[in-house]
Parts: sequence; C-alpha cells; structure tokens
Amino acid sequence: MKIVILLLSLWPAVAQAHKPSDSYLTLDLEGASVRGQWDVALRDLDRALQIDDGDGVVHGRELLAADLSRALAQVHVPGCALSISGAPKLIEHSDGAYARIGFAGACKDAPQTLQYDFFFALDPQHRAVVHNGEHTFVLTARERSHDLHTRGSLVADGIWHILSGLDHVLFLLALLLPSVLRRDALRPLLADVLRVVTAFTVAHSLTLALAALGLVRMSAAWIEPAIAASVALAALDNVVPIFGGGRASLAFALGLLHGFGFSSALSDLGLSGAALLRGLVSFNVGVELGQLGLIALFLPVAYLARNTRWLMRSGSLAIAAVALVWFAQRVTGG
Amino acid sequence: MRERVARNALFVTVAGVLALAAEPAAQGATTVEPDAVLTEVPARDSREGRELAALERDPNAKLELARAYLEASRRDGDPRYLGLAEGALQGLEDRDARVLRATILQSRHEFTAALAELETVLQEGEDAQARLTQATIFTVLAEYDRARASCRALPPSVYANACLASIDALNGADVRDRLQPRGSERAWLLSLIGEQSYWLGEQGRAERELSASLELASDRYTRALLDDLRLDRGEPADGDDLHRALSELARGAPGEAVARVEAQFAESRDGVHQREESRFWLARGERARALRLAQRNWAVQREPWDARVLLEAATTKEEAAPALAWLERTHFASPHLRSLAAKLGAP
Repeated sequence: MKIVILLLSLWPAVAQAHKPSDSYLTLDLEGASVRGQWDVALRDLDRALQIDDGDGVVHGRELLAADLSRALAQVHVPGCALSISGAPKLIEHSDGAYARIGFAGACKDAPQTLQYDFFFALDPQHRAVVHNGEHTFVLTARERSHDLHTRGSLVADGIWHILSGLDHVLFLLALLLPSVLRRDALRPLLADVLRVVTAFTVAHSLTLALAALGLVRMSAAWIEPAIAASVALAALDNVVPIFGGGRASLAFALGLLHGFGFSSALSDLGLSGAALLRGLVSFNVGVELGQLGLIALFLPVAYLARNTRWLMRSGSLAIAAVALVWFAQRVTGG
Repeated sequence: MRERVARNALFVTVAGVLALAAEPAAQGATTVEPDAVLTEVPARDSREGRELAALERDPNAKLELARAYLEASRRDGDPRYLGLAEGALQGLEDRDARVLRATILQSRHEFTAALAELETVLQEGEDAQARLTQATIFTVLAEYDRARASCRALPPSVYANACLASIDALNGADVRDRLQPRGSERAWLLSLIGEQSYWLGEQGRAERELSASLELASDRYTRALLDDLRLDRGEPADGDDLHRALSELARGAPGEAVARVEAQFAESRDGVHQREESRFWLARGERARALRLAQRNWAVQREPWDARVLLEAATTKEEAAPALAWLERTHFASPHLRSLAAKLGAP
C-alpha cells in the first residue's frame, strides 16, 4: 500500500478538463411560489441515493424508479414546501449525464433564502451553481445558504456592454456620420438615422437571440475579427464610397455580426429556460437604451458641426484606423 | 453597378463568415427511456464503489476508501474523486489521514495548504511518504534547495535516488544513467527517463522509453507525454480529450473533441488546469487569452511544460520573463525551450 501511495504523490497527475462535482439549480420565483429545475450528476445521485442496482450501469428505469424527493429534501426554501414535479429528464453537461429534476412549491410569503445541504457529507468539494432569475451564485459546504433578493439588472449590463464596447459604438458612429453630414433638412436626416438604427437593431437582436438561446453557436476567433473588419468597412465607405447609398442594408448585414458579439456577455451568465428569455429581453433593452443614449449625445453635436467639411473624412479615417488595429490584434490574437 | 457588386460581395462575405464561425449548438434535456443506459458508475463491489455510510465506525476502512478514491482520480483523471476522498477523511486526524489530505490538496494545486499539513506530520516525526510529497511540491514550485533537503531526509532507496535525480534533471544534468529502471518501480523510472529524453529532444529514444513504461503500467501522465511527443512530430494523438482536441486543431479540423474540451473549460472551476487551457486557446488562435492563462499558471506551478506554454504564448521577452529567468537560472536542458527563448530575443 505504501508504494502505491508513494507513486500517487510522485507521478504528477495530469489535469484533465474534468471538474469536481457540481449541480445546477435554476429558480424561478413569482410572488409566493417557487418553480425550478435541478441538474444533478447521475454519478452523484447514485452515491447519495444508490439508484443503481449495483452492477455499475445506470439504466433509465433505475432513475425513473428512484425516490428523488430524498435528494430534494436537502434543498430548502424556508417557508416553502417543495415537491418534485414530473418525471426526471436527462441532460448532458460537460462531464457526463445529469438528471434534470423539476420541482415546485407554494410558500407562505415571498421566498427569502435558499439553503442547500445535498452531497456535502460525501463530497465537501461539491457545489451548487444557482441561477436565480438573472442572478447567479454558488453554494458550497462552507456557504450553504444565500438570500434570494434580486438586485441590479441585466438592463444595466446591456447598457454597459454597448457603452464599454467601443467597437459597437464606433460602428454606429461610422454608419451615422453620412446621415448627419450629408443632409441639411432635419426631417430626412432623422428618417435616415431611424432607418439605419432600426436595421442595425433588428439584425443584432436577431443574432443575439439565436446565440443566447443556444440555437447557434459562433466561434469568437471568427466573430471578433469580423466585427473589427465591419467597423473598418463602414468607416472607409464614408471616405471612398464602396457600397453606394442606402446604408440600412449595410447596417443590417454587418449588424448580424455584432449580435453574436453581444451574446458572449450574456452566455457568460449561464442562464437557461424562462430566466434566459427574460434575461435576453432585459439585456437587449439595455443595449438599445445605451444605443439611444449614445445617438442622443451624438446627433446634436454632429448636426451643429455638419458644415465642417473635414469632419466626415477625418472622423471616418480615424475610426477605420482604430478598427484596422483591432482587426490585426484579433487575427494574431495579440 | 459597381456598387451593387460590392454590396452583394459584402453580403456574401458576411454570410460566409457566419457559416464558417458556426459551431454545433448545445442540446436540450431529453426524456428518460427505461431501457436506455444512462451512465456508468463504480460497481458496488469495487474498491471505490463502496458506501461511506456503511463504514461509519471504522477509521481504517475510511482510510482505505480514501486511497481507493485517490487512485481512481489518478486512473480516470477525474477530480470528482478528490472531493470524495476528502469526504472519506472527514473527522480523521491520524498521521496517515493527514498525509492523504496533503496529497488531495497537492492534486488540487493548493500547495501552501498541502505543505502546511505535511509540516504538522513531519514535526511529530519522520515519514517517508510525507517527505516525498513535500519534495514533489517544492519541485513544482521550483524551490530546488528545499526540495533537495526533503529528498535527503529520506532513507536511501530507489525513491530517494529518483527524488534527487528528478531535481538535478531540471537543473541541467543528464540523469538518465542514474535512474536504473529495475525492480518494482520500473514503469515509473522508465517514465522519468523518457521525460528527460523528451525534453532533450531525443524523440526516438523518448518514444521507446515512454512506450516501455506504458507497457508495464498504464498511466495518464506518461501517456500524455507520449501524446505531446506525437503532436510535436505532427502526428495524431488520442490519449485524452485535450490531446484529441489539439490533434483536431493541428489538422485544421476542429470537431467533437474541441467542442467537448471547450465546454469542459467553460463549466470548470478556475485554477487547476490553466496550463492545459493555455495550450488549448493558443492552438485555437486566441493568443492573448493563452498568454494570460500561462502567466497566471506560472504563479502556481513552474515545471518545464509551464515554461513551455508561457514561452509559446508570449510574443515579447517581457511577457515570458519569469520562464526565461527560470531557464537561465536552472540551465534546464531542452533545445526546444532554448529555441523558443531565442525567438523571443533572449540571450
């Protein structure tokens, strides 16, 4: 035995891309009721409840026959009586098969806290990754409860994302410069701005939704340089017209790329189900609000300066230069 | 007319980029079919399949279960067993339990905590296992003087010899003749020798030694080294998910393994496999991300592969400074690492 252990510590272990035990708990609170789903690794469920008959192979019927309420009994929302709803489903996470256990419960009052005690006695490294509406937190053996009040919102995240994502800002400015600088009358000017902004919004909302809902997955290695290129193209088009008049279709085509760019910020939160839909809407509202604020700042300034002839050329060239630097950085990964 | 063409060309390009960037979408939950095999778990009569609850009052049985879990974590490369081992040791405070706990902490890269636990054991008296683990941790931290002192505290044995030899190998010596692959530890010694041949760039010899070690005892670490060697030579490697993914990327055909590894990294906790993540993202073309991971990884562990990922991800001397300093200080013998350093303009 001694020798085996000697080698255990001496042969460095290869860090596999596997992970310690996690469960994923999604809560949906509404008034005095709770609904949710809980993804538990079948391996953990077997250790906790012995769902397997002992032969080392877990069959569907063994999971369906298991008394999962014994596991759910370790998840408490004080004041609420939780019970299993429906048969468990099967879901793959990165480290194997999980049971998805649906549950619901009525509460005396609005739920205040979540307490979690599952599996810690067997594995002190176990964690529960909890998605409470738009908020995510982690429960561990040391921190077994968390309050369920919600603060802040994804609207703010969306606003922040567009304002801090300089590439989206510059793209919008590059598209809008000609609208403002080439028209004198206010009415056609505003109509033009509206068309461009609407096209951009529809396009990026579409791709943001596709990506956030997991219908499409995009590789950042392609999307990020493509976004930089789109900024450069939009800006250069102001100096040397490449694509001709109507900029709405340009805004639409390139806007598709930007939506995928937004989605990475949202997918980092790991939402799912109804919470994802609501999160998607609030995040997008945030993006649009940020965008409108930006336009509200930009339009008056640009309108007042519309007779400054050098503005269009130098402004566009500056934007194009910045975008080309980004493009180079993103292609080389530097 | 020309503008029309340009416009259409742009639309086609955007569509093309989107098509190229598309990756398989994640799947949702499915209904459980009674006859379907959902997963495999340890059989109840296997060493790691026993129930902890059944061992309630038997500390020796708990120690034995913790050892079985640790071996399973090594065999399957599955950190889930480390948590279970920790669970089996809960409430046990004897020397064996504390040494095992230190091994768990070491596997989790919590080196400071592991060293502290070993120190409490060694203060009560010498313990070969505790000394060896201590030497290994000091070596990973590149604290070679302290590592040597730990090796020297061991009674003369194949372990004491290999302990010192591995440290000398990191400091520029060719120790392969000092490691005679004989006796019950033959597989391990062959793996150590093969590792040095690998870094010396003697690929044919390294392949023979590593393969010979694997024939005696299957081991993920040795297998990973052999896969590294194959990837270096532009050959496919398929020992584990990471090497399969790196193979796919080297072929320019990211597929299932790449998607799996990316999902695993996305769900994983921070810290333990930054070295592997760095390699993955560099192969994926995200150099800045790879560099950040390699730099953070170097703050945790400082072995040849840690130096290599940092040197490979860096584009300037400054970015790879700690690895370059390590190379200069240790005189570690590796033509490949030297040429990476030279490319960065290091003397």
